[in-house]
Amino acid sequence: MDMAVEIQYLNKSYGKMPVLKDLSFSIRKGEIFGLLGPNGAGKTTTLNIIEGLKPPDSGTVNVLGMDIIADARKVKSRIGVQLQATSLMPDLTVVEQVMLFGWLYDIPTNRKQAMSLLDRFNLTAKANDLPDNLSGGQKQRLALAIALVNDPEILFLDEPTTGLDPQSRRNLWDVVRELRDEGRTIVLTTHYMEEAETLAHRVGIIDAGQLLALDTPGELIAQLDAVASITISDAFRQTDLKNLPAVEHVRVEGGMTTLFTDDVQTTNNALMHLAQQMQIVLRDLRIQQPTLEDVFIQLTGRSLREA
Amino acid sequence: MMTQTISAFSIRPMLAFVVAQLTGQLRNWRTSATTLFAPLMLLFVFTVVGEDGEGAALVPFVVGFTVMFSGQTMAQILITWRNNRIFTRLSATPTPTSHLIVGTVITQLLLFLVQALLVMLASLVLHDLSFDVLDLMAIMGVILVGTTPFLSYGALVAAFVNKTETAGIVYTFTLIPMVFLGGSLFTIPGLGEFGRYLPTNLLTDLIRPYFGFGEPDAIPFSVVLLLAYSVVITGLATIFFKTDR
Repeated sequence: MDMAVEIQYLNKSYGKMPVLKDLSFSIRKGEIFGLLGPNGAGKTTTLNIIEGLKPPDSGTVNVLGMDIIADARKVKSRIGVQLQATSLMPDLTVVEQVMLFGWLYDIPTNRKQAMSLLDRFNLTAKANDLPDNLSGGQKQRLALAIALVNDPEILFLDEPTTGLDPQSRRNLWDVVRELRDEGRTIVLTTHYMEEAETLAHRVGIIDAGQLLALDTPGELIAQLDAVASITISDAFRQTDLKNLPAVEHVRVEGGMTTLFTDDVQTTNNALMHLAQQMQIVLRDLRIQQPTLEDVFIQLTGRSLREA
Repeated sequence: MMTQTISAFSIRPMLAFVVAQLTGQLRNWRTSATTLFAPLMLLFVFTVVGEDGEGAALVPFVVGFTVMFSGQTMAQILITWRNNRIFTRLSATPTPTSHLIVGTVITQLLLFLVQALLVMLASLVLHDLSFDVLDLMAIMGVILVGTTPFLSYGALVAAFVNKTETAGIVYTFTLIPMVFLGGSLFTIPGLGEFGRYLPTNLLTDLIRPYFGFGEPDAIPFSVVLLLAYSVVITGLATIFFKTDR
């Protein structure tokens, strides 16, 4: 299979503090690859090294078959980068920013071409505004537009939705999917489990500079020794619930009862039957499958938010 | 999908960067106008308080002083861009960072040339000085030679200082003593030959003959020494200045 990025035994330290420890993984062409981990896990450092912004202490990085150190300029001309913080020239308007970045790729970019790129990201009305006058979501969309100015084969997005409201976040997810549909490889870092689960074909979970797991979100969850849960309002006798098929244990908390089961279908059918028998109207029923959060907890012993 | 591979050496990105910076400067016209016209205030004060042509004798110093402060602006730009990670974003493109810094130097040189030109035009009116076109072109060349070591010194200050305010203080408090020790404004008795070789003095020595003062013979000596300063300071700035912290 064609690889967009191949990383082998990557090490990086800041002073005496190791940030990446023998990190190795590959990213396939055409996939959305999510690098998931808590703040300080080494996600941004990994991305910066792949993008040619920071040199590794040791190890190799190949991007589109080229070595990132020896062929840095060639690699940079074929990738698009969105940094965690949107860093733009403060006195240039939105359209001028796009034009400037086009020229920095040695691509003659006139106003019309820049406007067509802005149009794609619904920024036409903001074309003559300075970056300071844009909202967080608009700044992120501008950063994405700039990242696409050279029509890159691989797009690196470093926590693209951090700080955005849920609507803007979902809008950005749609854009990322569109870009994937155009055949681009997309590498994104995030500390949002839902984002990784929703967008990424494959996810690498990184913590303390080490890769803990790498697979599709579905496979990572399937490999997990975790059970699904059904949460209902507390209107049943606990003994009845414990006796339902496939139930492993029952927890009562804050007026709600949670049944942990290794077969959601069977337990749920039995629960419906029990409710009918006892003439109980089920309200607030929630079924929850294991998530990447559970994978992370199992791998690190703590939740992503605590990390 | 289009694949664009940047050629081995293209000056187009650098020129585009210069144009972008000038566009940004023009947009910020109040700040630009204040900066451009600030030396005229100094010229005006010297004219008002000077007696019998003394003001005219100080015109070369005003031009030189304008050029000397180019490094402070340079230091502040570099620090701001580094702190705001603008360099980091720009260096994600195939344009080498060195081209971007050269682009910034060119932009600053152009702006300081305009500033020096304004001072000279004002001096024509205020002091009845006269230049022919060749003189004017020579002065422009001299200013280019003279500005480079100061811009490099600004980059060197930026290499060691993290805040723009501190850079301003460091730059000013190293420049002003050099101005007085070198005798750029007036000669301090008993300082000996030392001050003669300071870049501040070399710069004013270089400018003075074009305004009818000083020794024309000193021009080649000043040019060579200023170029030597440029090479050494640029070398140090290249070694120590980092675009990312």
